[in-house]
Amino acid sequence: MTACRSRPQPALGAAGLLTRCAGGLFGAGAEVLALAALAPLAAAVVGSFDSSASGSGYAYWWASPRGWESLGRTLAVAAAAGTIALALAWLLAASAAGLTPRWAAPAALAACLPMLVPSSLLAAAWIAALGREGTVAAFLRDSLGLRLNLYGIAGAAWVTALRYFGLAALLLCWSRLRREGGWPAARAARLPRWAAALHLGLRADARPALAAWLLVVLFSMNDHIIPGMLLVSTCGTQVLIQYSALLDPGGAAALAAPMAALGAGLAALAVGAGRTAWTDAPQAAAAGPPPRSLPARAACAACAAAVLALALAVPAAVLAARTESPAAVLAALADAREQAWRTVGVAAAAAALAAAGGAALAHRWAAGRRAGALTAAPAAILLLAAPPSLPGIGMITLFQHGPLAAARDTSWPLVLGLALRLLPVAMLLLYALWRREPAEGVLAARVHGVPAHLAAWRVVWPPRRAAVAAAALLAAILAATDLETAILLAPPGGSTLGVRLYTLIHTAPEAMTSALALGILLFTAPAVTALAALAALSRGRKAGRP
Amino acid sequence: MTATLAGIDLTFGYGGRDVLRGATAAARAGRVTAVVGPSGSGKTTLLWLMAGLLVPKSGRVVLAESPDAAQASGKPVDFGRLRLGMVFQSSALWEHLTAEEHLRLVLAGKGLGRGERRRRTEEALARLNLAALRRRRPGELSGGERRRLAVARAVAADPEWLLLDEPLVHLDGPAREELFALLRGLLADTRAAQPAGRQAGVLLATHDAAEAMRLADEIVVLLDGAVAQAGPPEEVYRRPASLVVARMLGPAGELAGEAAAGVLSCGGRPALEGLPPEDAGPRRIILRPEDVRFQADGAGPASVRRCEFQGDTYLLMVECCGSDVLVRHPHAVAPGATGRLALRPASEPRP
Repeated sequence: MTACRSRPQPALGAAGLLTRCAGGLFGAGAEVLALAALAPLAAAVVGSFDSSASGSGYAYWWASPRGWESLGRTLAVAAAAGTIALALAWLLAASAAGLTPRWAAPAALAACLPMLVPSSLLAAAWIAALGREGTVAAFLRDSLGLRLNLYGIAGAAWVTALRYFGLAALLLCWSRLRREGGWPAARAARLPRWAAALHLGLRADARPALAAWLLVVLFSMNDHIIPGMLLVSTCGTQVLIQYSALLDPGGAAALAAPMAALGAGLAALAVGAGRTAWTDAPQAAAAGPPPRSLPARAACAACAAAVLALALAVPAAVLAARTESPAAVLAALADAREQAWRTVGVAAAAAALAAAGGAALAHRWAAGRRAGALTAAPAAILLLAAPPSLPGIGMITLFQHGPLAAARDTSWPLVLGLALRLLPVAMLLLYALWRREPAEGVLAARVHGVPAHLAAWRVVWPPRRAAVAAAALLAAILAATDLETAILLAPPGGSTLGVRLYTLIHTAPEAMTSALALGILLFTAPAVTALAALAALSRGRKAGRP
Repeated sequence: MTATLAGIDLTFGYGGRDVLRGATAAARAGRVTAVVGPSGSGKTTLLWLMAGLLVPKSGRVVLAESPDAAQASGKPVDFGRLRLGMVFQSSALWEHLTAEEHLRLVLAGKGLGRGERRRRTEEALARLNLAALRRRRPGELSGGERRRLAVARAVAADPEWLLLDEPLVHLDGPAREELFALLRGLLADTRAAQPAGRQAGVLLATHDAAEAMRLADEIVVLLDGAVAQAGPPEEVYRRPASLVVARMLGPAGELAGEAAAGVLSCGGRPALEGLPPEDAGPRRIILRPEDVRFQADGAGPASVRRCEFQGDTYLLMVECCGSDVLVRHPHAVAPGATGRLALRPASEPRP
């Protein structure tokens, strides 16, 4: 699967034959994994042409206005969410950079926290805040006479934006951090403030901002939970896919396949738009951040705090206000003990698989990039760009017949489904960390005759283990808070915490739902803290180097 | 006995552009060969090919008894068996390992007993003045200490062939002097017989000609991916194949004219005196500043354009017959002064 370009592979002698064989087997295994990971997507797409329940799925959805109207609503929500998210992210990035660059990364990472909780939790929290009987909505109505309606495209876009704006904040903060060393030249050139802001600020932000907008649109488009909970009578495409997936998998796949193609296109555009933002050499910040006055820094701090409070504190505070007592949280968790343990087990297994597979693919991708060789590893990104229900439908198809059918009613389909969905997340995280890793360290081991197994264990693995642990932890958090895959693939009687919350939202009193939602937040908190500690540890080690 | 590691007619390219075009270079046991060239001339690529880290587009790396035998009957290198030590331009240290662990790792799997591994580790640490820094990781070392660790790693296993890629680059001041002195001692040791009765061969890549001439027994000048000249340092310096080669090793100028009766004339006027009397006909003469004397007479074809104080002497830039010639002069000369140029006799002490 690899095709060498002009830069040849390193040479090996006869004594390195074993190393070459092991390397070759590993490379071939990674290529097979990249292609095998796409099997559920392929199965779902093949199944979309065989829709027995509703005749031709493509004709049903796309030869009539229903599919196009649904797509229009989906895109409207996604585009609006992308725009709101971009505005919030830009505000946060500009404020954090105005404080000191040290705060930019933590602020952007904090903005990503809503992505680490179930989307149903976020929707429930915002319904509790701004729904018909919401705490904030009631206050605004009673004190200001202001009536808000969260149920509609605008409301869905708002909540979706608050879930995914961290992604945009991360990109914009990263882009700003990489060019923070450019300000002394602008000052020395006596550029007017407006010219510096326009040419060095806004214009430099344009491409990463476009990439961020496209990514948020992609993720919003593929989210069916929030629109499903807020659009009520005007369901979007993802909602329809999810609702019809179990009854008519072929028909649902016929609706989802074009969305997957659209998602892949958006992902490709995002990568193209943001390429310079993450491949350009960073400008050294020898002079440190630009000096700012105390009032300016205070204003920036207030602005950043306000954005983060809006995204994080409001939902948490409303859930806390709606919960009867701390004991209710513990009781809700105790009631969900069975689901909690199952969630932990499923998430741990899926995260281990995703991290191992992601590490193999990232290593293959990074090595291929250095050697100028093509690899199938990046194709795994399709699993992230496609609607999450599409690989889920594929897994149902694969476990329906053949040798896998015996495992159909076990947790394996769910574990594998989650692992596949999180495989590109782990791969992208690890690739981002490893792609600029110099090859000379490994080559030095080879030149000096260090045995291959020792080189792998003592030279390659130690600097990478923290990254793999972080990828596994991130995958575990995302797997534990997943809903889209679990709804489709959880075995009978084997629901997870996310599914239980989603069920309770529709059936139980709000106090009970809020208590469980808070419980899930507490459940996620230690893992997020560990992830932050791991990132800080890794950063601290790097900072110690010259 | 394999006394020569030679790269024969090596060609290699990145992205369709050949950075090495049929280059031939050899490391010989007991000798230091320096590959000198400007940035981008292909020095690092040549070393990587010789180390088996890259596969050449054409050409081969062989072991033979002598450079001549390498051309005719060299045995292709089995890089897995080659006892190689290498200092990378980037040092390529393992950031998570201590200095001591670096050395222990390269001694692992060499069939050495624990005691022997410890002895060689201690020896390499002591040799490179790293004994006190043994527990430090590369991130806790200064630039000079990092380079010393890279050298220690390269020599720890008593390699038969030592490849040094810009070992002094990015170092200045005392750190550079210290490493230079250590390297000079180390290379002197490699010229002596190793415990196994075998001398090591060293291939040193550097852009610094002065460093190469001080350390090497032989110099290979690499220009634009091809070998422009090879030979002992003094020969390459004194009799460069071209002005570009001459300028690679130090300041030089060129004068073209008609030689007759020991004088080089241009435009019918005598421009350079002191040529061997047997020289006759059109000549292009490459001149080192220390080999030329400026005689101000107010009438000659040579005109001083600039005079720079160099500490012990003055360097004159003299325009003569449309060419710029550099002259090392014992005292200052005012720009605009005119006169004649003459070659210093070999017996005359240089300024």
